[in-house]
Amino acid sequence: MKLKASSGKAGITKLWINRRYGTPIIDGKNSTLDKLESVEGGFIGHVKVDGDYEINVNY
Amino acid sequence: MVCLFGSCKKEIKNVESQSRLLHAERGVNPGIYDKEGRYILLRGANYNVLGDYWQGNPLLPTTKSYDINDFKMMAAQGFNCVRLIFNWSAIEPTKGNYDRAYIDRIRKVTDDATSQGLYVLLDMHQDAWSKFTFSLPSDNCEFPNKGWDGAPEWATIYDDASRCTLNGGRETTPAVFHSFQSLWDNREGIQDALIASWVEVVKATADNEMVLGYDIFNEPSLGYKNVNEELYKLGKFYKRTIEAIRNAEKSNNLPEHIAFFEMGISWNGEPIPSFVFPEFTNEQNLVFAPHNYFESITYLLTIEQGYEATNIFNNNYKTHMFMGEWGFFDSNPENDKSKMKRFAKMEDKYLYGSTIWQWSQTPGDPHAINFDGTTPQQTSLHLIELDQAGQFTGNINTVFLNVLSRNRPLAIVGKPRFLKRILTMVK
Repeated sequence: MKLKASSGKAGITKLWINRRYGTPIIDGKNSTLDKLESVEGGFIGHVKVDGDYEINVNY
Repeated sequence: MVCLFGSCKKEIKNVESQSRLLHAERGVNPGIYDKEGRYILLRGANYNVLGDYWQGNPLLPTTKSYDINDFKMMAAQGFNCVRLIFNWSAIEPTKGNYDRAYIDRIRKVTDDATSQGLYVLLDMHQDAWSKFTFSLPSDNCEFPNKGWDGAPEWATIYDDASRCTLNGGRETTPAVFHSFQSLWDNREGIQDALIASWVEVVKATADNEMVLGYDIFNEPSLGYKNVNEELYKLGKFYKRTIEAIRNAEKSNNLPEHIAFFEMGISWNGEPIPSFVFPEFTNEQNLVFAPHNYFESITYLLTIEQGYEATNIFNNNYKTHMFMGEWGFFDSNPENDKSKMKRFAKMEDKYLYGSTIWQWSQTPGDPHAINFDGTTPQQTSLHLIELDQAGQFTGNINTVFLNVLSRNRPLAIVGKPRFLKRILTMVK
């Protein structure tokens, strides 16, 4: 999954990531994984973002 | 702070859950937002265990037995929203007398859903007006009408109109569209009563901050008068209902939830895009919630064309769009796999939310059963499979759920510009 967004302030973007392919690898531009929370069926990714940012979710 | 009796408890509860409240914005950046200003993407399913349906066979239940595990299963698919169906016939079975036990059940199921992290869109549901507009044997119909769900019997005013469908389509039944005409004309105060029923639901549920909002009226039919006149009346009904809901929220010190409004039913099966005029309300906490059954119930447009068309209407309202119903119903889900993916692609392109029709459906549901009470189905598979007793068989629709549970943002900081489902295995 690839998400691009523009923000004038920093914050946490939250993602749903299913567990079907295992543990995800999350990277991108102006974004840092803050927390990967394991939940039933998948993960909740908490990603610190700022400015024009991009988040990539791979496996 | 001074606390007197129960008032202090309620105040604390509201403060504690404040951060879960969502609101909608219209204008240049329409969307559903949380308290931190993040764009919220809601996806889930319709859930009909509280439906009060016509029963074609007394041995076959029309709904699944309620089970909180349904919500746990939804959450495990990444769902964060459920559209909870209920009916006016069960809220106010006799005029002016509300069934408090039923309203309490709406509240209980809502609380259970939100306890599992699901926002709840409360849906005043109806299909083809009511469960009381079915054909009688003495009607000798060539195309008899099953009963469906919606209004109570005392509010079903169709005079001597026929209870036979014109061509098999449930909305073509004169008794159905005459009943709708009675609603739009507010005969015997039935429109006032429907709005008053909404107020009862709002008072019972609105302090739960994870109530997403109120879907004012599912798939309304127009009456039999001039179309523009009927659309004006539909818009006026929406406006009156929103005002009543806002008054109930304010006067009871309850948080304000989003109002959702729909197009007319004729959009789904006939080439009549019946939508209310954009100036019907100035309400800002408002979301457009059409249904899309293209390449499913109707082939008038493709999935993509239907989606684009509803988005054009949405742009006229300057609202966010949420597809309250959509779905595909081939008995073999594999045959619908590509359609599911195409619909998902449109959702991701526009970053809109939706609730698919539906989580489960019994073989005795009016959608499945024949007029004579027979059913072709031993089991019924929507997202989960039910047997004729309305019990979960243990089978799930993995084809659909694999699409619905795809990775996605839940809450987006800033203005989203691009979302694409790209699956890359780097390990």
